[in-house]
Amino acid sequence: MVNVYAIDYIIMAVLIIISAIMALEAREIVYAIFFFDLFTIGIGGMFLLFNAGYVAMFQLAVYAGAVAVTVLFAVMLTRRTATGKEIISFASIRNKIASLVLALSIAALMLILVSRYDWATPAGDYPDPLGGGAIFTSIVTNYVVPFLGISLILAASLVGSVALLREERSKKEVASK
Amino acid sequence: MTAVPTEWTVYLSVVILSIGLYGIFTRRSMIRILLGVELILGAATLNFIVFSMSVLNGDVVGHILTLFVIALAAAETIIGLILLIMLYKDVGSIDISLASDVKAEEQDENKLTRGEKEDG
Repeated sequence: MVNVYAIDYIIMAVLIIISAIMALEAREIVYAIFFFDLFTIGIGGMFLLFNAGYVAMFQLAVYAGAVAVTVLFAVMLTRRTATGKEIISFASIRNKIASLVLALSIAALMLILVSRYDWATPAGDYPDPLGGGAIFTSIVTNYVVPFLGISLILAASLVGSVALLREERSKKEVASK
Repeated sequence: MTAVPTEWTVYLSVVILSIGLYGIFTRRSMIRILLGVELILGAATLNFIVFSMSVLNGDVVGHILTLFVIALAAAETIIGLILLIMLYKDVGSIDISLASDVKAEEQDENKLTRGEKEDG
């Protein structure tokens, strides 16, 4: 019997790897961001395959939606259209080779370590984690302190980013006076 | 049987991790470096989910950690992009190698105070 699930998995994995490479290698930065979006959608599909529907929903809403659009806005704000100056700057060949060797050696080390461990695989389907109810009950009971911490970090980062841009503007106002 | 071997996913996330590392090391455009960091975070969340479903047999702890990682990644992206915009306003480029020139701002401030003195 053909394992349709495994075929699905392999297609998704190939999509993820190709879009991850293209997100870093595409010449146009806008295409790179679209490939990054494809990558996050692939990761969300993986979550669906692993019976994690709620996390997949968050992944699609936050990553594929919000983060990608935010990066696109940043590109729009920092792009030079008038002069046509290329904003992608690639490293030298020597730097590239050194980085490739470093990344490949780290990958080889980790792959060897992973292959030596006996990973548990469920015999049948992946268990259903009782929908989102179990997740949210757990967040507001066992994990309430980390949850509050994350909320504070998000609020602090938003306020901090506004403050940074505000400071920049006030400095310019002083300079213009 | 519908479950794939757990190690497949671990191999996949190792590959994504090394792609992200390579991107961080070689790119000088700050947006590409941010994308590399996001790739590494994606690899980490993939591991959390697969361990939660296979090794922990359906425990939701991996899902909760993944939600936290997604929230942290959003915060990290906001801060990174604000720094990117500030760098662009300062030096007119998003090349990260120009960010090491910390003297630029000091010179600006010196110029500013000198200008104020001349005005006064």
